[in-house]
Amino acid sequence: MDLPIIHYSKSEYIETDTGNKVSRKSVICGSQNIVLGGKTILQTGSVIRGDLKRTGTGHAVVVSVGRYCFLSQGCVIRPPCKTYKGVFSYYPMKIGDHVIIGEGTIVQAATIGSFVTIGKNCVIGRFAIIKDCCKIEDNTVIPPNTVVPSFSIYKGSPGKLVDELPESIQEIYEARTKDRYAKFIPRAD
Amino acid sequence: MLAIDAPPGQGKTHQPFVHYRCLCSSPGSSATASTKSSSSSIHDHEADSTAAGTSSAADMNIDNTAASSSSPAPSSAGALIVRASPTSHESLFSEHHNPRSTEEIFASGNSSDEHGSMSLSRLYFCDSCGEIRCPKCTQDEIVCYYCPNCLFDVPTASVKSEKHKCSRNCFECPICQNTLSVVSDDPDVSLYTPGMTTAAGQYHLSCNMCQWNSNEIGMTFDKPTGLAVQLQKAEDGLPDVKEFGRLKDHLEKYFRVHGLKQGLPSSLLSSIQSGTLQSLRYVSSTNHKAQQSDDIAHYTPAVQVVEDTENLEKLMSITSLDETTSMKQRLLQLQNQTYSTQRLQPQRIHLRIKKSRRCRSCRHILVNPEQKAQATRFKINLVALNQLPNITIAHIQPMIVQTVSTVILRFTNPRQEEAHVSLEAGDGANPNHGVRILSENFTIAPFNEVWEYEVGTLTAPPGQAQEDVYDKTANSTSIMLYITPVAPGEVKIPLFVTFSFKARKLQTETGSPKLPSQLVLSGAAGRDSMPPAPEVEYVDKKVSFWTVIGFGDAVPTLSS
Ligand SMILES: [Zn+2]
Ligand SMILES: [Zn+2]
Ligand SMILES: [Zn+2]
Ligand SMILES: [Zn+2]
Repeated sequence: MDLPIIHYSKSEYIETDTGNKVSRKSVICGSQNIVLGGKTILQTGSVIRGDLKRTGTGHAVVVSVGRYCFLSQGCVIRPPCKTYKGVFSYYPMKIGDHVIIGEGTIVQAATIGSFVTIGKNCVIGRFAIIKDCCKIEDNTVIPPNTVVPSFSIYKGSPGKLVDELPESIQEIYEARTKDRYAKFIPRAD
Repeated sequence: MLAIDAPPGQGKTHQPFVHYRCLCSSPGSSATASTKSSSSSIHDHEADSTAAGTSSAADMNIDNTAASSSSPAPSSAGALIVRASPTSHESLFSEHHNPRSTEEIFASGNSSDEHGSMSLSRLYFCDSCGEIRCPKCTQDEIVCYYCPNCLFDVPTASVKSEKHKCSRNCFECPICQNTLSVVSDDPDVSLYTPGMTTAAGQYHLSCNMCQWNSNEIGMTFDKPTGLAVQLQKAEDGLPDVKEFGRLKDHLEKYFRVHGLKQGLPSSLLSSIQSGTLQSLRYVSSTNHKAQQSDDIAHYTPAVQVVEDTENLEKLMSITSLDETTSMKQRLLQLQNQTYSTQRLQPQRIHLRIKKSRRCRSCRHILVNPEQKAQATRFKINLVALNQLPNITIAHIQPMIVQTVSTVILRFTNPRQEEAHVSLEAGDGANPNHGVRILSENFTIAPFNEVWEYEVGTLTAPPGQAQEDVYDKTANSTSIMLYITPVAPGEVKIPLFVTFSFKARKLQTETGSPKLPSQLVLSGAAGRDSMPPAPEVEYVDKKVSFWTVIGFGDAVPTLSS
């Protein structure tokens, strides 16, 4: 089935020059430390903590999100943290292109590759690395420091490999995120 | 009246879908397949399984490469899938390739089952056979081994000696199978450098998920590196592992003497160490029986199985299940299979493989990934999605019994050439829902990069003859269908699609399709589909296949 068209209220969303659509009802902390690649959508109630940066350093990119990403309602993007040599610090997070993050999912990964779909209500632990072309099923917990290799489907708590994605997945995910963006249109009012 | 007519299995609702069928699950020419619905696919599955069962001997002769013919399933480490040999499949295919009359095909109608048909994204298209191939109709070959945790490539030569497991610092928790981290007692310790003085037993393995710690079983390390060597040494010393090695040597000697090609690459064997002595005893006794015909020397196990009364008593006194290991935990430690959680060992992480796929019918390579573990690109990727029209349900009306519902089907052309589609509805389905296709023949414009960003905004290119279709945008054409469900429940229809297009002429069509595997693996076959000749020759291609389209559940009419 085709994806349904999502109509949003024109007054709720801000559209940037590069086509990002950011809800005014999302929580963006430390926006000067956040980079959005373009044509990325931040839905109502999504949270990006760009303020959680390494202490002491000046301006630095804390969270970078690629093109055609879709951050669903209520998801939380929070840079990972750890105590190293007795010093507590936050570390930057990078999210690739064509990434969908489901509703209510909390992400504290170090990197998420491109062409990745993460389901609803997942927890992606600190410093997890999700490589390109992966799928994380709904309600999955990826423990801290886990590496999810390409073409994997992970599910459960702790998340485990349950299946492999087909070789065509890159094209499918790319088409899906583009379709999603094309169908995210302002309500005629 | 309503209650009687209510759809069966009310709790479950069916979602609309579009599935494509591989030849192996399409209505065949055999007479039995044409009478009952779903019988044809059952017939084929049976044929498949018998082929797989009887051809293992043939398999041995055909596989030239050391690591081919079978691959471990990704999730179940060590499980072996022995595929049917290509020769037995060729005969299976030729049966399907017989010309069939349309009546026969339609009579077999909707013999779809969930397993026989699948979404286009899971299928391949062999351009030399001109047929859809499902994963079952492709043959896997191992391209490379890598560790799913540290993502390092493992050279094939060392895979066997390292028993298919990572020899770096990658371990799995014996309790929850999560990845373990190497931690130090000293929180201030920085990165380890060789030559650094460390306290003895300072390092241990710890699980982030269930909080298991190797201190619990008295396992500590002096250095944070080279742990795998220590663990493997301990593993190799186990009696079951030694026994397995002995048995393998014993049988391999026989294979060598008789000039038999080993059916399975022995590197795979090392990952299926069946640890139980009971099974070894079974093997040796069956060998004894086979001695008369095959003259394998009798095998005497070095380890004798004794009645394990101590274990039995311990197990009988258990009051909580937490005191013993679960079946899953035991099966993941085949070499000792302990009942005591205290004796569970952290395991080195199992390697994963990247694989290429060949068409079983013509041996042409369908998928060939780049050799490096971390690369996600493909040298060859003949997935069906990039070659066949992608059918999607663009609009659907609720299905009501004996009422006409309108459905819009969109056909998207992934090819760079204009394509022609003709449709026929299979009318032998049971229940046989009323289907009327408003445009049975139409064209689809070629795929063009420029259009990608303006989906749904462009109309037919100029100069195009206006066709009687519902809609035409960019590289897709939409048509209208009238569906009249005759019975409540899930509504699905068989649709026969003929897709014609002009394709670049393949060099291999004149040459031999059977390339030596070595040549193909080195990437030489990648140039097959792109002849270097400046003038491109085109040939007319025609591909026919069955699809099954589901429209969800039909509800009974109120008047009935
Ligand atoms: Zn098949
Ligand atoms: Zn590793
Ligand atoms: Zn654990
Ligand atoms: Zn073929």
